[in-house]
Amino acid sequence: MVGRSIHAQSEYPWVWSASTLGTLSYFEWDDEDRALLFDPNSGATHLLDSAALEILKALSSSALRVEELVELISPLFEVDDTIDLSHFVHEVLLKLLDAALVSRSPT
Amino acid sequence: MKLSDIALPDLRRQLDCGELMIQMGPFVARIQSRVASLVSEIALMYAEFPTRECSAFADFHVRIAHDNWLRRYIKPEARFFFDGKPSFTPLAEYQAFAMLEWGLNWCVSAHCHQFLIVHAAVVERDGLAALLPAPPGSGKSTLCAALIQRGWRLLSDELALIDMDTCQVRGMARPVNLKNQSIDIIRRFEPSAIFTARVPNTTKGTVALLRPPDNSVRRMDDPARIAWIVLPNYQPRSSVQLELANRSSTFMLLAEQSFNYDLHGRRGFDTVGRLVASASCHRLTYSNLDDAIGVFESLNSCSRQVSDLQSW
Repeated sequence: MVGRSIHAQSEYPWVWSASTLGTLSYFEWDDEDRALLFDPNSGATHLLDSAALEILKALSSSALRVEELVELISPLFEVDDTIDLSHFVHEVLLKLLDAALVSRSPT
Repeated sequence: MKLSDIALPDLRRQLDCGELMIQMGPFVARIQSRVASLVSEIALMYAEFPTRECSAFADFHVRIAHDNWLRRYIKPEARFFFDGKPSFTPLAEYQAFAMLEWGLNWCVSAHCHQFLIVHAAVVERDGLAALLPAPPGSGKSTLCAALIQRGWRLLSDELALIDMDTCQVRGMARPVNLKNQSIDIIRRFEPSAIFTARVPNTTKGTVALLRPPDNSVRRMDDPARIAWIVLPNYQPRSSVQLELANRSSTFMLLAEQSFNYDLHGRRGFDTVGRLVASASCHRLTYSNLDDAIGVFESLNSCSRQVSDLQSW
């Protein structure tokens, strides 16, 4: 079941983009919920959960707002109705920002 | 010519003059030393290794020498030199052979970046290799020593040399470094195993080097495909247990245990990813060596059955 919670634009006033545009270097396995990603900018290897990788995949082709990301990734995961997916995506984005894998600009 | 074809006085002279050139898998080491105890230990441990003409190219020029004239007579110490430069602190002279081995490991891990180098033991059977990456204390070298006494080919007990184009692993088949109680465990496990004298009071405790099986040395140039990545974990009094390991965690462990993963950037990332994707990854808890070897035999037998089915 997928729960969607679309917030007003003002709650997440950023457009997010991946720090590396184009093809990502990653390994993921069907039976695992974590993936490995290589960041060519820093040379670092990141251990990410699958949701973070899906968000990065989406951002690697175009800059998106939280609401757009929720639309894109919600069909990929079984999420409980009670989960605020926008909040979850925003939290993941902040972690990716800390790791310098994404950047943001005001909408 | 192999090293055991050289008479001991000639070996001493070659060592003295820096003319001893030993082939160790993909590398040639030129060794020079006047430390008397080294002659017999090199002769014992490297008996089956091929030697090269002294005019041949050497990858490493190493020397074990007394640190200074006075210390030759009072608590004698020896030091490892690489390309004529002293490296590391001097150690007691009776630790010279262990120092040579550690020094050679350093030569490879610090310089041979044509390979992705992982701190791991590697053994092979029927063309398939098991990679045993693990931090110190996990029982990696003990398990490796036991496996090679039961028919598995030794590629390395310490350094896995991974060809980043083919993902195959190369070995050097050099002596296995055992520490503390592992020495007696392997002596009991295989009474015919050949060791150097025990070397006490090293930073790793008491160590002894185990001579590699002759067949492993003769086949040191044969690469192998990594079929299994097994993370050993010695737990006293535990029953043997093999579990599937998470591939992403195995990836991170390999990267952490690599000496030059960061240096290779995306190529290193791709190599580790391909290795982890193509091998089966396991976590092995054990206390009894026979039980642990039984697990490796089962893994090998399963792979053979799959291979037979595919060819059928």
